[in-house]
Amino acid sequence: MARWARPPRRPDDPQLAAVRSLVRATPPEVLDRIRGRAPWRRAVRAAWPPLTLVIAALLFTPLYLAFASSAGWPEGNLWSLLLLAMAAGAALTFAGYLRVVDGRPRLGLGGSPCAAVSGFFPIVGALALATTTPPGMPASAASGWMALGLVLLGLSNRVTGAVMCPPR
Amino acid sequence: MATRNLAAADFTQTVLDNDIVLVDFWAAWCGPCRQFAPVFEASSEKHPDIVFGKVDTEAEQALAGAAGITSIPTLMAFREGVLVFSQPGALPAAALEQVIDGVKGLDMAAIHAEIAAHGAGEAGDAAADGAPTEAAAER
Repeated sequence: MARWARPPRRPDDPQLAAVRSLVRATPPEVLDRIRGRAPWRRAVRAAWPPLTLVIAALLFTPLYLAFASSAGWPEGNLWSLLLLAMAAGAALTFAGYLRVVDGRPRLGLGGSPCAAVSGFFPIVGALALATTTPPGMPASAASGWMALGLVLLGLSNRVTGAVMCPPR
Repeated sequence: MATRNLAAADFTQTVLDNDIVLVDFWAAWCGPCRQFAPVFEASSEKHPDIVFGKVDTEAEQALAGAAGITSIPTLMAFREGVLVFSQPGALPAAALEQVIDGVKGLDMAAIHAEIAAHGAGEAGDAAADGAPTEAAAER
């Protein structure tokens, strides 16, 4: 069969076909002129307005202490980095529930079930760290990486789900 | 100028008949869409020279599908009938103003030339492959 002999398509509504050709005509390079090469930066700015960042900064220390105690107060540069990353990720995730609408702070669950439950991921991470740590001993690095992974999963759900919804 | 609701019947004509058209694809059940709505509305009052259209993706599912909407809210900007911006996610007011400034500052002669060159290049590639263009396939 000839390569170009595609199966016949269902006749399309001409109005929708016109819309389709309108949105498909633009090459990606043109769209990038305004969108920029890193559109995620705008999503990050939208997800964390200044007030949210202040709340995150306030949450950081208690969360650092919570993760450090869950891990049995481990020492070393690697653990310091892991705990800093976990505390920062969890603080940004929890603070992301605060939305500023019309200049007023409000609780915003987000646009998807994943976004709504993203705050559970840091909690599960801390619990996983605590339950895999032997009594009186520091946690293993593997547990630390697992907990950090959970925290980052929650954070990524929060940052995307806070500003958009999947269509139904 | 207030926002206006767009449907499949008047979407293309609105885009082609106006210099700059911003379109917000939204749904009532979507929290970020509700968050973005007052930002979009306020901007429409500030820029009477721009058409601010809204597409309810629940009522206009076929239109949203044709426009390739995968997340809502999605903001599209058209200038001189050309899609020049498309991005999902609720924007804060300052970011929306940046987008509008960007749209107004575009060199549309260069963009039309780029689109024409892109179309010619695709047609040339397709001819070299022995395959029809997308437009030919549609026919």
